[in-house]
Amino acid sequence: MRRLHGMPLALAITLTLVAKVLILMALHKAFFAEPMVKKMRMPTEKIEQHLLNTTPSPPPKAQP
Amino acid sequence: MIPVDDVVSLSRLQFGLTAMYHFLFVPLTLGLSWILVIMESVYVMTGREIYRDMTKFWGKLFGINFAMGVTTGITLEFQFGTNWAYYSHYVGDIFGTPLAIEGMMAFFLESTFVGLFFFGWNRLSRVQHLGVTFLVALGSSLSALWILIANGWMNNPVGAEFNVETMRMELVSIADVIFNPVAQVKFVHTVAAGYVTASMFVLGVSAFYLLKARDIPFALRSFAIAAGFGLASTLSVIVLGDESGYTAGEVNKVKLAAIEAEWETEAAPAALTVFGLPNDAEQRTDYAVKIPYVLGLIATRSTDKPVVGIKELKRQHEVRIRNGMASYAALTRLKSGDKSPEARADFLRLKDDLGYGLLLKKYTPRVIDATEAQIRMAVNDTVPKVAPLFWSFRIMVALGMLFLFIFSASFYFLVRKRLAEQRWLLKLAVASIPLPWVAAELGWVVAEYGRQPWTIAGILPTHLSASTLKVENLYFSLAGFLAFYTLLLVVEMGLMIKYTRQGPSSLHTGKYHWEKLEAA
Repeated sequence: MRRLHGMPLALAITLTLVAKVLILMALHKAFFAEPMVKKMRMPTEKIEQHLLNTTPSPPPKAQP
Repeated sequence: MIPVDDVVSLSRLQFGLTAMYHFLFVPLTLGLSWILVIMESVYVMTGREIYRDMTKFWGKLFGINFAMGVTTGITLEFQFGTNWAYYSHYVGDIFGTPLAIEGMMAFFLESTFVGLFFFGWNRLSRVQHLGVTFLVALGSSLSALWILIANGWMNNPVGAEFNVETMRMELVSIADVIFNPVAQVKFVHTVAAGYVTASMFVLGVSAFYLLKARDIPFALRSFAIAAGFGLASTLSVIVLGDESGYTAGEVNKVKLAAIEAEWETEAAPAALTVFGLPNDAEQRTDYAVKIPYVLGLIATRSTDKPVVGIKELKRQHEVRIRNGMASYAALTRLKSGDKSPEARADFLRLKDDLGYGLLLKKYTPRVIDATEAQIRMAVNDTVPKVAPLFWSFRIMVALGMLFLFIFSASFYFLVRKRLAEQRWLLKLAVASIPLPWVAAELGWVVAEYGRQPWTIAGILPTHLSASTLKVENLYFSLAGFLAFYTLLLVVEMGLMIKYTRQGPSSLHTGKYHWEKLEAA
């Protein structure tokens, strides 16, 4: 860290930006490379399984 | 009871922490860019070199913050797809547009002009360079606009309808999403808070130079611009915060009632609880100190409309949960192949309450057979814990009042030419540098924790929004993010302190404190 602060500002920022991109790429590859949802869309059946019962049942009475 | 496992809590913690870290960088970028516009405008109008030096020096600190902050928000987008898959599917049709525009604003407009700002001093005319600085500021604010439109929609989901076929919310009116009153108020309140943050930063650093009696003309002019801009911004934040309270009273009644620890529906106009000890277990506020009428006036802009209390809201929510169970059953019938007009009509009649029915999924896989005890638990979930909201909000407001005092006093003593004698004020300004960040983070706690138990208010509960993940992965990715952001913050703080100490001498013009000392 001390070395970084001894550098010219442009060089310190460039190195930090490069390090930042590399860390972000590593984090993405390690933990976020296989998202459950692609382009913010999932198969509808998967959503139905997650949210709904699979067997239909008679509805309870609604209240006003 | 189906345990809401640690995946949901850890995903929330991860998103909350990364968003809060990200927002350490954002407000300074938002506000400092406009302070640079003011400084450079004075330079263009007067031609005085000191204003050019001011723009360059504060621009250097802006550049450090921008470089450290840029892409810190991208980790939130990583999490959408991986940690919040069901939420992403639900909102994809609405969020696609604002997030794409935000990306364009941030990467093309903002980043391009930030480059031109730093490398264009000797290549552009004065007016052209001022135009570039203006576009940097505009780009920063506009990229915030699109994110806050998306966030505003989560609090007040207008302009969209649930599609039974795709099982997601779909856009009906982009105009309603953009002109959503919650989003508009949120945008102006957030950017104004950024302006306050940057003003306090410039004011505090300038006060430090004045206390050290170095670079006084430079520090005084910076102090004056920060005091004026800060005073106007703080007044805006207060007025817009009041508007935010009114909007919450209209569309986020639960959040308002929780912030104000309003357990019962009082006769209009409701009193404002200035201080008290909210007791969530007993549903009352101990040792409450109240000011008559004030909450009613703020929240309803009237003397005859009540502010609905938590207990009454819970009764309303119980009805909606029971309707939600019927809606859920109708949707299940539809999805099981019953295409009859009756099944569709049943669902359409109660579809607005489907989200309330989904709250029961936390306690039973068979929503329609939920027991009374499970319904009671779901009802209790519909209101977030009061104490964290009550205190976060009050500390934020108290800090806002402190900022108003500091900027007003700074402006007053500056105009009366008695600032140098007020060493207490200069010291207070230095000590207050971190406080706007505290206020801004608390504001986000109020906004986001106050929306619980929902990711999309009234539509999608948080516990159904998270992906099915392994807890170990979440722990490791959380640790990775913490290390990453802490490292960035340490580098930022180190560079900021280094260049703040150097002051305008870091411009190497030979005119300022350290260079003069060396020359002597």
